[in-house]
Amino acid sequence: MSTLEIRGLVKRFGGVIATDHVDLALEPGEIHALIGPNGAGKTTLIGQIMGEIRPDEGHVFLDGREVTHLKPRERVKLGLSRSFQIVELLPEFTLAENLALAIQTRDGHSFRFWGRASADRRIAAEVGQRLAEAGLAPRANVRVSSLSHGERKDLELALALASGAPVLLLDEPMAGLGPSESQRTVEQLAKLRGEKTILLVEHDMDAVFALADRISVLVYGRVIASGNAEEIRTNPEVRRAYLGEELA
Amino acid sequence: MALILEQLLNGLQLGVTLFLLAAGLTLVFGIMGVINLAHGSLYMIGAYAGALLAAQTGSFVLAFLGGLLAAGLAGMLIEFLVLRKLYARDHLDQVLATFALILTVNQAAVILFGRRPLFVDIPPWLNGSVSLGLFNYPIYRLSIIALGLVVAVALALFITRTRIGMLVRAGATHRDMVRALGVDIRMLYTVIFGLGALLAGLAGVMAGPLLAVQVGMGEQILILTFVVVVIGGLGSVRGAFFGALLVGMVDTSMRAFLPGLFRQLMPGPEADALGAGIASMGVYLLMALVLLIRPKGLFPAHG
Amino acid sequence: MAELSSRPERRISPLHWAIFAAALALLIALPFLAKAFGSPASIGLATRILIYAIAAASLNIALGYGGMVSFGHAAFFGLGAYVTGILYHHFISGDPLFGVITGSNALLVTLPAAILVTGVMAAIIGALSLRTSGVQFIMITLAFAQMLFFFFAALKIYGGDDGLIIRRRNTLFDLNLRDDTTFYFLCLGLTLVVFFLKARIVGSRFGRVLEGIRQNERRMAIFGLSPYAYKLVAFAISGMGAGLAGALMANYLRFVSPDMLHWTKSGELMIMVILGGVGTLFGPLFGAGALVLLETVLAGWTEHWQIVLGPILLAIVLFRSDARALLARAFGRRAA
Repeated sequence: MSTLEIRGLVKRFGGVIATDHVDLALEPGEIHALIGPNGAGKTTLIGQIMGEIRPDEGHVFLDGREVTHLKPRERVKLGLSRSFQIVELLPEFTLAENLALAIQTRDGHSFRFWGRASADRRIAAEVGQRLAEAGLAPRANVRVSSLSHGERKDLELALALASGAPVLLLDEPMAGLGPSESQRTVEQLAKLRGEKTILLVEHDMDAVFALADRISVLVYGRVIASGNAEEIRTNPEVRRAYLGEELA
Repeated sequence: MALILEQLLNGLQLGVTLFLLAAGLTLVFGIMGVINLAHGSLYMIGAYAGALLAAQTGSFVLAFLGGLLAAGLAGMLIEFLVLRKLYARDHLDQVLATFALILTVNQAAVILFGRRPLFVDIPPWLNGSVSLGLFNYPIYRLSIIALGLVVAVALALFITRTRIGMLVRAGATHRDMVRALGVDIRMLYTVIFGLGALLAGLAGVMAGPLLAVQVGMGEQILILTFVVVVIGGLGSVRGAFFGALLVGMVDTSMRAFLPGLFRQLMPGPEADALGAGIASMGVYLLMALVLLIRPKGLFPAHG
Repeated sequence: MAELSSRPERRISPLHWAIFAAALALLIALPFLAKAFGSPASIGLATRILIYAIAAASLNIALGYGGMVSFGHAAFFGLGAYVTGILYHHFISGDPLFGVITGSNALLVTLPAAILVTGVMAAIIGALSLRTSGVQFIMITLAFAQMLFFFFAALKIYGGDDGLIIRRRNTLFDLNLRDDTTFYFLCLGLTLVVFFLKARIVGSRFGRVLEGIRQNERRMAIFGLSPYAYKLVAFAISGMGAGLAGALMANYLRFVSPDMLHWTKSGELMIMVILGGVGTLFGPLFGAGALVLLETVLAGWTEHWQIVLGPILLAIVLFRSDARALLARAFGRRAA
C-alpha cells in the first residue's frame, strides 16, 4: 500500500486547469521529486494534498485512508505536514520560539493555561538538538524578522521536520539558496531517506537527481512522465517539454 | 394591507438612506483598505449644514447644496489631514484615530450648536402626501426614495462604465494590483473619499427634516451601516444596496409590527416595551443569522 | 495587508519589574497619602483606575495577544455590571429572577455570576464574530455590543434608559465595603489577581499559541491546530475579565446604566490598551491610569473636555510609532 496516493485530482481556476487528472503514489520511505516549469501547478497540487485547497475532482489517500474531505489540521493529525516555498513563519518570535511552538503543538492540544511554556526542559532540549541539526544554533535567539532568506528557508524546513510527520510535502526548500546552503539542505534531506516519505518539489536539478528515488514531471497540470532519474533524463517527451531548454 | 405597504415604503426610505452611507463606507474600504468611523460624522455635518442654511436662508435648495458641499469639504479635509497617514497602518490605528475624530467633531458640534436638537421644516413644495391608491404617502419620503434609487443607478453606472469605476472594481478585489498599475493613487483616493463624503452628506441633509438634527446622530446610523456592510459583504456596492434595503425593511417592519404581535400575548405596556426592545435588536439578530450562513456576507466582493 | 504592527514586549525586564514594584508600593500607600494630604476623593479616582485596568488588561488578551480588535468590550463590562445590579434588584424585591434564581448581594455570589454570564455571552458573540476577521470583526463586535446596549435600554423592569440604583455595595465577609478605602483595597487585591492570572495565561502553552495565531494563522493551521477554537477561548476569557471589572464598577458607583455598554466605552478601553502598550502585561494599568487622569484633569478644566481629548488621542495614534522610535533611541534600544 502506498503511503500517499492521489487519484484523478482536478482543480480549475475559472477557465484555467491547474491540476489535470493527476495520479501519484508515494511508496513508504521514498523521496519522490515533482518537477516542472513555473506555473505547472506544483504548489497548487501540494495545497490540495494538504487540504488547504479543495480539489474539484479526485481523491487523496493517506496510508490507504481517504482524506479528501479532511481539513489541513486533521491531516496533520494523521501524519502529514508541509513546508512553504514562500516561508510561513512567526516573525515576532525567535528561531527557538518558532521551533518550540512546533514541538508543543505536535505533542497534543495547547489548552493549558497555567504552566510556563518556556519552562519545559524536554522541549528546550529538542529545540537545541534540532537547531544544531539545521545549523542554526548560533542564531537561536534571533527574531525571525531579522533573519536572512537562507536562514528562514532552513527554519521553514526545520519546522516541517519538527512536526514529526512521517509524510512531508516540501515546496522548493532550496529556492533562493546559494550553492553551499543548498548543499547543506541536500545533505539534511538525504539523511531522511527511508525514514520519511517525501514529496519534494524543487527546481534545483542537481538536488533532485541527487535525492530523488523517483521523479514525476508536471507540465500544465498533467503528469507527463514518472520514473527514476535515468528514465526521466532520457524521456523524449520530458526533454521536449521541460528539460529541453536546460539540458540541451 | 395598506399598513404593511406603507411600512415597506418606510423601510425602503430608511434603506436608501443606509445605502448612501454604506456605499461610501464600503468603497473607501474596498479601495483604500481603511475603516473610517468618522463616516457618520460626515452624515452629521451634512445634516447640520443643511439645518442651519435652511434656518438662515429659508431655501431648501440652498440648504441641500450647502449640506453636500460641507460634507464633501469636511471629508476631503479629513482625508488630507488624518486618513492619508493611516493607509499603511493597521486597522487598530485606523479605528482609534477615527474614533478620536468623532469625539472631536461631536464636541465641536456641541460647542457650536448646543445640545438642543435642530428641527428642519419640509419645504412647502415637498410637503403633503400623494394618494397611492390604498393609502396616502408623504411626498417628502417618496422623494427620498426616488433620489436614493437614482443615486444607486448612477453609482452602478459609474462603477461599471467609467475608468475610475473600473479601478474601483479592480481595487476591491486586487488592491495591490491597482497600486502596481501606476494609477495616480492619490487622486483616486481623494475622488473616492470625496464621493463617499458627498453620499454621506446627502443622506444627512435628506434625513434632516425627518429626524432631529443632533450630536450623536452620526454614530447611531454608522453602527447600523456597519450591520448593512457586514450583511451585504464588505467592499461590495451591490451588497451595500441589497443589505441596506434588507436592513431598512426589517428594522422598520419589526418596530411597526412586533409590539402589536406581543400585545396579543400579554398586556399592553409590557408588550410595547418587549416588542420595542426586541425590534431594536432585530437587525443585529439578522446579522448574526447571516454570519452563521454566509460569514462573508450575501454578496462578498472577494469571491 | 494590515496586521497588528505593534510588537508586544514578551519578556519582562528588570526595569519593568522595578516600575511595577514602585507602582504597587504607591498603590498600597495611596489611601493613606490621600487622607494625609486631605484629598479623600483621589481614593475613588484610584479605584476607578484599578477597575478600568482590569477591563483593559482583559481586553489586551484578545486585542494585544490574540490580535482580535474587539470594539465591543463595553458590552461585557456593562453586562457584568447589570448582573450585579439585577441580582441586587431581586435581592431587595424578594421575587426570584425567572422564578428560580434568587437575588443576592453577596460579592462571593455576584462576582462569579457576573464572570460566568459575561463568559457565556462572550463565547456566543465570539463564536459568531470570529467567523470573520479584520475590519468585519471590528464592525461586528461593535454591532453586537450596540445590540446589548439597546436591549438594556429597552429593559424597563430594570430601569431602561435610566438605569438601576444599587443602594448598598455588595457584602463580603465582615468587611465594610461601604468604606471607600476598604473597597479600594478589595479592587487592588483583585487587580493583582487578574494581572497574575494574565501573566500565567500569556506565558502558558495557550498564550504561546495565541501569539502564534496573531502572527500567522496559516502556519498555526499547519501546526495542526484550529485557530478558531483558541481565539474563541481567548475571547471568552477576555470577556470574563471585562465582566468582572463591570461588576466592580457597579459596586463602586452603586449604579448601573446602559451608558456602561455605550460604544464610546469600548473605544476608551481600546485607548487604554494602546496608551499602555499593545500586548504588554502591565501596560493596561498605566494606560487606564493615564486616560482616567487625563479625562479627570480635562473635565475639571472645561465642560467640553472631549474637544481637547480627541486631538490628543489623534496625535498619540498618528505619532505613536515615531514616539516609540524616539523612546527606544533615548533608552539606547533598537526601535521595533
